[in-house]
Amino acid sequence: MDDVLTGAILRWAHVLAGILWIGLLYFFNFVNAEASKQANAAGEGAPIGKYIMPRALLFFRWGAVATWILGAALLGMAEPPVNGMNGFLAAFGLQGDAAPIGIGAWLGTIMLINVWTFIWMNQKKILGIVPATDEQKVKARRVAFLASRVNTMLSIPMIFFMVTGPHQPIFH
Amino acid sequence: MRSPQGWARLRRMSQQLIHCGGARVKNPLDSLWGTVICGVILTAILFFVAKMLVTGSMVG
Repeated sequence: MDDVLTGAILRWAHVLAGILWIGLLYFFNFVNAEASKQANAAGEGAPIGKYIMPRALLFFRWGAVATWILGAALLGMAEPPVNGMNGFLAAFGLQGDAAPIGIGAWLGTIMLINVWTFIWMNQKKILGIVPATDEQKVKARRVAFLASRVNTMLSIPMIFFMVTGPHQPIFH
Repeated sequence: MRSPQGWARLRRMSQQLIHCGGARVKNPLDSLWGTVICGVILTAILFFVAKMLVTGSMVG
């Protein structure tokens, strides 16, 4: 398979995985946070925590991993090399024309770390996957909420740099 | 190096920044619109950072 076809397939898969990840992030923030609050107030919130959240979080955290790996592979294939560096290193090193996509890559990396540390670790306490006291659950809910909001905020510039990064004229 | 008094003053100033008129300033991330607005502002800041990294100048 030639590099052009491999690159196209990787880009396609990267976008699909990214939609899964960021789509679920937006679902959590734009829909589920408020809906859960209302459901809990009505005493009907339990099914969300039992049936929806574990499945949504499964696709959310692995979607994040898939998006990052496919994106890293795409950067590695970038041609022509910037300053004689591999595309991955040039992007993460914010080198010349690779800087815009590199900023997007750094934001995506911070978001991935956020998913697996602050969000998932605290969601495990909230959902009862790991034992936690009521006090720990209250604290975990706040940390997970803020981490999710930070990711929503970072997703806005991240998507901007992902879609504009390869189109250099706006940065010149 | 900043003196201990200097650090204390800096701490007081930062506390004043998050307490405007006696009312604690809300975290913008508590609101969905606050989150979106912060994201747009961050995009604008990073756009100029990227422009500077690509061209070596903010104004192109």
